[in-house]
Amino acid sequence: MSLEDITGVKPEDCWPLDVLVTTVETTKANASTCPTRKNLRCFYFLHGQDTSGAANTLTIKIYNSDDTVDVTIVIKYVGFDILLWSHGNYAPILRLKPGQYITWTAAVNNVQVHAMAYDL
Amino acid sequence: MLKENERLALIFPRQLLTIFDLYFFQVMRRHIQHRTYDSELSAIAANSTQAFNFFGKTAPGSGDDILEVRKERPWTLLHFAAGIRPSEIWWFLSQPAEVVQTGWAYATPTAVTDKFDGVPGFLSPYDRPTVATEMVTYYKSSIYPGLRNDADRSIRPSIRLLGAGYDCLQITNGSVIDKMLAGVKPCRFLTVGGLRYFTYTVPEEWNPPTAVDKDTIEKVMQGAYR
Repeated sequence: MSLEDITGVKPEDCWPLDVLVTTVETTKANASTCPTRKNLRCFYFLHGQDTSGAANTLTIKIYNSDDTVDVTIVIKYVGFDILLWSHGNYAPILRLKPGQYITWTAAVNNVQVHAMAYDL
Repeated sequence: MLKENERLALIFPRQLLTIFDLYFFQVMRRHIQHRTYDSELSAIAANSTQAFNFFGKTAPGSGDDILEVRKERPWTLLHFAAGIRPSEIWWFLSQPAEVVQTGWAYATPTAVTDKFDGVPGFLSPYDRPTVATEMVTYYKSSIYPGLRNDADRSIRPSIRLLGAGYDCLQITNGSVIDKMLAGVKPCRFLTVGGLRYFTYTVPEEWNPPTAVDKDTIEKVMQGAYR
């Protein structure tokens, strides 16, 4: 089934998010934030590669608009690992509610993240 | 889109919500009209607007695009819809260009920045333009579309205009018109610029319109006679 069949979203409605994740957490100003006029921001694909060669962790946090943490996800890496995260069929793997934003932090510099998202 | 031998009527308000002018036509010949606007459009910043300057807003017969109704007017009417890509681009319309369109925003002028009265792209996809962006125009008319980017990222939109040009025969026979108003003969009734009063102009070669009262128009627009 296509993305449009499942969500009504077309391929051209999706966009990439590329982040070179460092040991410094993404600031709110630079974070991907679900606009308040939308219902959801859905990430349906995530590719993350450790570039340090060391054992590493990637910490993903979803914050509420009042800066309280809603969700924390920690992914462990052995050096140069690649994480491919997708449920297939464009089902969201991470969802941001209106006003929520997502940040990224690595234990060791760096993790290169490439994600795909759409808004509903 | 109408086929040859099908009939349509254009409805204009003559007097505020009491009398309406109707022009009846029969399609004698049609020709598919198709045009895409891609690189011609510039990127729209996040949550911003842009005029779609391809219909000659300032005067009939002036403008910068082949789909504008030219003075030579090979077609009596142009009937088309806009396909929009991506879905987060909204389509706003004023017709005639100077006439404020109202819908949900009954009490206030509709602007291209409004959250309402625009058509989001997913309601009229680029590949399948729908009735949500249906437009009829002719020489002496003008259309002023606007675009709004509802996303929080910059987007360069693509627009597809798909429709037909009609060579039409104006129907002036009172008996035939009565049958169309009564629903005996099929006819597609189309408003141009809404039913609230505004000044409109039509080509000089069109015959005078048929005046129709409010009750009849209401029944026609409610589909009571279909």
